[in-house]
Amino acid sequence: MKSNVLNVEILEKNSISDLDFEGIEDNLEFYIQDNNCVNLNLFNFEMIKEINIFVGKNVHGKINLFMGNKVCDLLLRCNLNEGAEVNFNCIDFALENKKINAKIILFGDSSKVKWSSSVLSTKEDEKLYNVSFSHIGEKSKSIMNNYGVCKDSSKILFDGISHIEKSAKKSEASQNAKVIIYDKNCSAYANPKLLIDYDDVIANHSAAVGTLNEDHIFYLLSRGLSIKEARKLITLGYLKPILNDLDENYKEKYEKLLGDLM
Amino acid sequence: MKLLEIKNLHVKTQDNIEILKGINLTINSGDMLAILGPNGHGKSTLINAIMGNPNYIVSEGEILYKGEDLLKLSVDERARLGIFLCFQNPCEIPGVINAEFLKSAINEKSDKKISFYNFYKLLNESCEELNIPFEMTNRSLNEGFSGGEKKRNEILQMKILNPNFVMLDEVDSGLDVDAINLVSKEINKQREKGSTFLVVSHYARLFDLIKPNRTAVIVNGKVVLEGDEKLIEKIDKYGYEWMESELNISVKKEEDAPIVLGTCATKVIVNEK
Repeated sequence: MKSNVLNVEILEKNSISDLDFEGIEDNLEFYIQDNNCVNLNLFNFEMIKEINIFVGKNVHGKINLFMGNKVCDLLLRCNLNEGAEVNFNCIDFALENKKINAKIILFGDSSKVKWSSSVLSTKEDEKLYNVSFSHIGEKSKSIMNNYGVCKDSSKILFDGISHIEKSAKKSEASQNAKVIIYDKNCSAYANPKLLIDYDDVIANHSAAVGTLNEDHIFYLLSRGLSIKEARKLITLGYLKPILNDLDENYKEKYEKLLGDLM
Repeated sequence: MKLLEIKNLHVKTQDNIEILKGINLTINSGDMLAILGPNGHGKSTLINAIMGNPNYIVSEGEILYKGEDLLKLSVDERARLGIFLCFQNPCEIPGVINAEFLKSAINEKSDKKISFYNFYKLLNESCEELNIPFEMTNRSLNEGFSGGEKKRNEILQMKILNPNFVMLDEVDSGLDVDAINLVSKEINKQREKGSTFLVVSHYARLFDLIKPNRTAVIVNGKVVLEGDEKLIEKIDKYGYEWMESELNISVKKEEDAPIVLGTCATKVIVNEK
């Protein structure tokens, strides 16, 4: 059965658009015309299986994905044309399994993408994130930062692929994945992969999975914080920086949600 | 009045290396006690054991604070009693904002939460007095701070948390002359408020500025000598070797001291030509 598709076209040139989508049931396709500036907030898109985003030349965009409780399996595709710059912020403090596939193609020269995710996994939830960047345009640049906190018996998997193809001369790719494991029954995997087909590029990757740093805990305890408060502060410090990129009202809302969950 | 009593304290590392081998020391309220001793002989171990650092295991002896058995208390309980450790190398904690951490620390000490206005007023005034840019309080705790900034941030915490008993572990290392003067001034102000100090340093300059009333020397994991400020002058002038003949002890040299390797990369070269 073919799903319905909601097309959103941002055609007016040199405009600034601030759009919120909440509770949409159809799959989404965005066409963002050249030279626009766009801020998209997507909430509670439980029924959406696919989001396709076509980004025109020299577009500056920020796309915030607020994962609702019932989003289970999502495919996000995005094509960036020449000079386009898009920041994705994926905020996932939801209480459900998640399987997110994001495929971003840096098609145009000098296109840039930054993907940041902040994932909290609790109880027996499994959160699987597979994010891939394909660099095709010259001097294209990608940054991927995946941060997670894993509690109870839950699981987090961050698979990241940055593929710099032969055509993508002088491109740059950076990947960073970090997961804190709270309890002995939870598990986390971080696999930041680089596939490099051209030699004049800059690329780096790092991954860290581990428990809370005992020296950090001792430092906070030595100032009178309880162990619970110290753990909470370190964890919030881990997941919260992504919220700094949000508008103030969303920032407050999700800070409170995160505080309640810890 | 006795504030802290340390009796026959033996402390070892997680690797079972005994560092402190029977420390006996009493600190009275209002004291400014200078602790001196060669590198690797147990000065930092002593103050970490008092604070309850889990990397150091107390195998024997006791520590009483106002008559209460400190070893039965957790680290945070000790801190809430008013004990403060100014770290030699404060750790960097990414994402934990300096100001938010300080506010949490104040609130944990008191039943009534500090208001937003009072907290920022206190923070702003304290930063001004310590010549710390206010923006630093909105950065991650110690992350990217220079050595001097870290030390001043420790003193800022001391000033704001207003502890009864302060342990300073080489607070002067990494500070320039102006910063040492500023930090010393703050230590003296805190002393006037009634705080008691235990100060570890290798340099007479700091002691000249904060004027300790007592001195203790730790050698080979024991307090081998106690005295007044004249003892600091003597050590500054002659070092520690004179103790070998006067006290009939052997001062273990740094190269003889046990080395504990942490987690670091190692490289083995086989058949190097």
